[in-house]
Amino acid sequence: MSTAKTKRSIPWDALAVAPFLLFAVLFLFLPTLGIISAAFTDRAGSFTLDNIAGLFSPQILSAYWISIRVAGTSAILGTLIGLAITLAIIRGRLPSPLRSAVMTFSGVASNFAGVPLAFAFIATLGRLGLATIILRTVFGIDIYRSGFNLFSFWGLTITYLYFQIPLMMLTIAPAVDGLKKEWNEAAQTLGATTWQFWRYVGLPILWPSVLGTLSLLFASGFGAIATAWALTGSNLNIVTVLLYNQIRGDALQNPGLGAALALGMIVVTSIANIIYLVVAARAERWMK
Amino acid sequence: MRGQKFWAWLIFGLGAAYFIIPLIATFEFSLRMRRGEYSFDAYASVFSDPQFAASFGYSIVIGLFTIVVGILVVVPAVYFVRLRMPWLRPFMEFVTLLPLVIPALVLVYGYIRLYGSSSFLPFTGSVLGTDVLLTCAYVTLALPFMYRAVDNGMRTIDIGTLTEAAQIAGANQLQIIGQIILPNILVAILSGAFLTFAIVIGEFTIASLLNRPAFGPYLVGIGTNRAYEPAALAIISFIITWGAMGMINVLGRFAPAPPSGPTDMAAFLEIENLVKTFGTNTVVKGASFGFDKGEFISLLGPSGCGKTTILRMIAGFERPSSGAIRVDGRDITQLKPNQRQLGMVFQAYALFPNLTVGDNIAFGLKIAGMPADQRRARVEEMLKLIGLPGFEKRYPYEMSGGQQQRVALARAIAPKPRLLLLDEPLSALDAKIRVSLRQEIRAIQQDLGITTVFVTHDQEEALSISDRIVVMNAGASNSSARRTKSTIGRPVGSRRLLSATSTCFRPASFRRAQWQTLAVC
Repeated sequence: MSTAKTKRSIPWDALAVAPFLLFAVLFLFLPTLGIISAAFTDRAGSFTLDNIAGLFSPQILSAYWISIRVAGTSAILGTLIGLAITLAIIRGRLPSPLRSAVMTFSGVASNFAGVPLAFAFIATLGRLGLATIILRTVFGIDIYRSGFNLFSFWGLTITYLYFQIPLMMLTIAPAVDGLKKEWNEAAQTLGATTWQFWRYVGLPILWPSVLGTLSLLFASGFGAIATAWALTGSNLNIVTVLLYNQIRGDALQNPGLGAALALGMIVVTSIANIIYLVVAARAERWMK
Repeated sequence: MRGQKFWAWLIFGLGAAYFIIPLIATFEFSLRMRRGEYSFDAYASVFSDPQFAASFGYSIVIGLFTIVVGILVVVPAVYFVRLRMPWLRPFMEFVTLLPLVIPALVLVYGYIRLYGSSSFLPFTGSVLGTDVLLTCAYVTLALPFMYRAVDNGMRTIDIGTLTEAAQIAGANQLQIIGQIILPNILVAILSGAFLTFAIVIGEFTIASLLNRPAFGPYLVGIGTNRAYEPAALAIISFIITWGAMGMINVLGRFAPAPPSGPTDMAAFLEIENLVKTFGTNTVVKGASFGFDKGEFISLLGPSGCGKTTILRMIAGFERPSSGAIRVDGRDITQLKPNQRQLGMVFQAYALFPNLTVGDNIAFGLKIAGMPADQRRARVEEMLKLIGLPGFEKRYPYEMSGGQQQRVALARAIAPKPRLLLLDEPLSALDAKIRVSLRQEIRAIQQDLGITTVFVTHDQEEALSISDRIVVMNAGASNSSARRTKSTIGRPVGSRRLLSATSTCFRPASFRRAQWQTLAVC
């Protein structure tokens, strides 16, 4: 009886949730707050806006701009292509073993980011890459002479798509699965063509999920560093490379400016998410 | 249909090319180390490098640590929040979203500032450069994925009910978790674990900033100036990631599959020798019957007897293996569903969730090109007919099941279809609503004089509503067929049916009705 009492008195709920809360505070909230406070602190420890003002130098502004363009372009293309492939696999009546193979591959490819991915594309589209050589020797197309460069905006975007597309496919597949067959059948019995079904029912239902994934892809592209660092070194002035070099201690010579740079990144990804939340709230009126 | 498949293959093929070519190219590149011929020298060089072995081993250890810490942080929290503290859920969702929104690089910068000494580099702080901090950083990175895997696992097994059942059986909290909950979500936890491992093993940025000097996850070594080893390492890393993700796929086979319900089917004017075969299984064996205009016909039979298949062949969702379906003398067997001018009501309503009630009802009218003002008038008329005037601005989720099904009925009949198909439309509703709605359906059907085919497994339902009933049976069991026949044959026409819906009933048509038993399944 007494043991039963003791057991009942143990606050299981609090004990179980405590590690999670502690973890959230120590590794998510405090570090973020630390960055924010450092961004507004000068070397002497007093409040300043100089660090924020320092962001508006041409070098840093252009770094943000290139990052936003790469992230935006790769996110939009990744979303469109990923959606097309997912629809082809799930709704296009392709053999079902293909689907599970593709989804496993997506899991692998979406985690195949960073340095190995950079090397994979150097081996493919670099000056000595297989695709480059085959295009030149077999088809007579010299992509480098016609202006292509792997270590550029488009090179980076094409490389990012390697993890953006699978990320889209993994995220959107459950939503596509959630499209009930009966909706399509109901639309057909009411005279709708396939296109009309997608126009009025299918795509509007998928829309919030697509938007959510778009903002996720944007954040993943914007925050990606290893791929860009290994691929372009300091050829392409993107903001993550700038911050990476800063953390390693050889860039801005100003810790406060580094924190401001990081804060700026949080602001950009947050804005992307807020845009998503606002648009999704409008698109999701029909949801519970 | 063929065109659709062509496009699907084309898109798939282009996608596959984009994803496979870099892998082939990387592999080819990794073989180029010996000038003039292909060799595995790069792999030999990687594997004989003592630093590779050391850092690879270190990666595995850190990966395992990350999994253990991640499980301890996520699993108990998800369980108790789901069970007792649902108000904490939004907060958990928010926290687990943060690592996806805040770039990892920014978080690591925060760790260095927070847990290092005042200067950034070299690492002089007591926590910086330790396995503890690296592990925690990886747990943060994997948090969204671990959380979702575990949360999904708990949702599919309905832990609330399981916990209550175990409590009633006398189990204490530890027994419930150890013997009921954990075994049931093991697959989900393992999936999260393998995903975490795949993330850790291929990670570079955090490792390069937080690892201890001289060691480090093996991919740090990839950034050296050598040319061919990195390609070999990329291939190795891809294979390891594939292994981890492949395990998740294998695990998925042990998870309970979502149930998929079959659908039922019935038809309109003339059904002639209809046969439907799926593979070697003949589901409908030569069904033939015919009905007059304006009749209400029920297909009655146990589930799995093929009545749904017949209805779906009438609708055009299934193509008969042989036989013909004629409406008004015209063979519609080869027509697509959207050319048949049918209305259909589904068991699970199938209202378009993104459209309001008014837009749902107007959908078929819009497709048919009816002008907006006429559509509005027709929607109003329909809403009045189903007893829901003023509901056009509501969304489906704001209505009860019975109301949704009435809207579904209105949507089906708004375009004035030649034939109305009802696929067990009442079976998702509770008993009281079922009775009132079936009377309503019957009244509306008589009012409009629309020929209706109704699929049901409920005898009483069929008897109370139909002009004619086609009794279908599973062929194998004659006794059940006979019993069904006799119960319907006699008391129906005279007593039960007439007393229930005598106003709707035409005894004459009942006498004319031919009872048929279709051999199916």
